[in-house]
Amino acid sequence: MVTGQTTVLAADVPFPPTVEDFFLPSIVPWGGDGVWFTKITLLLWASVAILIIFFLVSYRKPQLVPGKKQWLAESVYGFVRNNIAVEMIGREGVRFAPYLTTLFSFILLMNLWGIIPFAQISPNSHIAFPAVLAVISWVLFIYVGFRKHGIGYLKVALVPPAPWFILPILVPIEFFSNFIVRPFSLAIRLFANMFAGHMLLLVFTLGGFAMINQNLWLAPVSVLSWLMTIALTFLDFAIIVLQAYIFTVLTASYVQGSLVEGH
Amino acid sequence: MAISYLVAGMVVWGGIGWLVDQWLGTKGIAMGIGAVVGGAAGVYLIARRLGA
Repeated sequence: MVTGQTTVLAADVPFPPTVEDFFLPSIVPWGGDGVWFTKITLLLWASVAILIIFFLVSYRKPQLVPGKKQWLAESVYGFVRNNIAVEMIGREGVRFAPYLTTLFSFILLMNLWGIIPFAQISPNSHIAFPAVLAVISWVLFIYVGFRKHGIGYLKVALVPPAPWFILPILVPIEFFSNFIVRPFSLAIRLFANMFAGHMLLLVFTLGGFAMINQNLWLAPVSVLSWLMTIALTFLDFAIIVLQAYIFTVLTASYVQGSLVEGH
Repeated sequence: MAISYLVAGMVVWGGIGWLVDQWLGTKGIAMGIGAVVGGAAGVYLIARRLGA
């Protein structure tokens, strides 16, 4: 049921791929038009279910000498806690480690669908998903800031250490940069990387078919194109991990910015 | 972070300059001044916030 795209490798391959290729058909037979249950929906639910079940099972009976599952879960949590939360925020960062771990593993898994056979598209290539995650991070660091400083958070966030006569120029920049640009840059960075990754793989896969269908003499080039697809899949894997890491690190860094002591 | 300040500076003050252009009917002079001032302020902010 999820092999929809990959089986359509017949004579007339649509090329070049377009944005339309990201909007997949419904995968349930009932409901007709406008049905929202697509592969993307399935992958989202699967991601949530996999993460919940994985962490519940891994931590159900924790052993002193961890088994494989417990080792993996502890490694992920330990990595985010020590190398992101504490590294970026300091000792207070431990409080945020559970959320940051959830965020990191969720984004990582959602991104990974982009190169997992038969899934082969990441839900994060639809901007709605990164956008919601970015809004959560945005609300989080603003909430943490007001919680810590009260109304004085506005001063911490908006008023840089500078002579008073330059402040009228600087404060609007701080406001724009800290409260408006941040959620957009978070969302767009993740979305664009996942979108481009999927698009690249589509171009090289479908391009191979387009060429071989045009002229059999182009077959070697087609094979080259498919080899490129494999190479790019590895590149995409690196980007997938990197983007999950960056999103989490930036969220931690914004929280850290909300927690700094006033000047 | 640094790039965000630089871009934000030019966008905010360039944008305000553009509004002034619309208001006064000048063709891009205020926007140009705004973008330069904003860029400079962005550099200054980076130095203050992220530098020493």
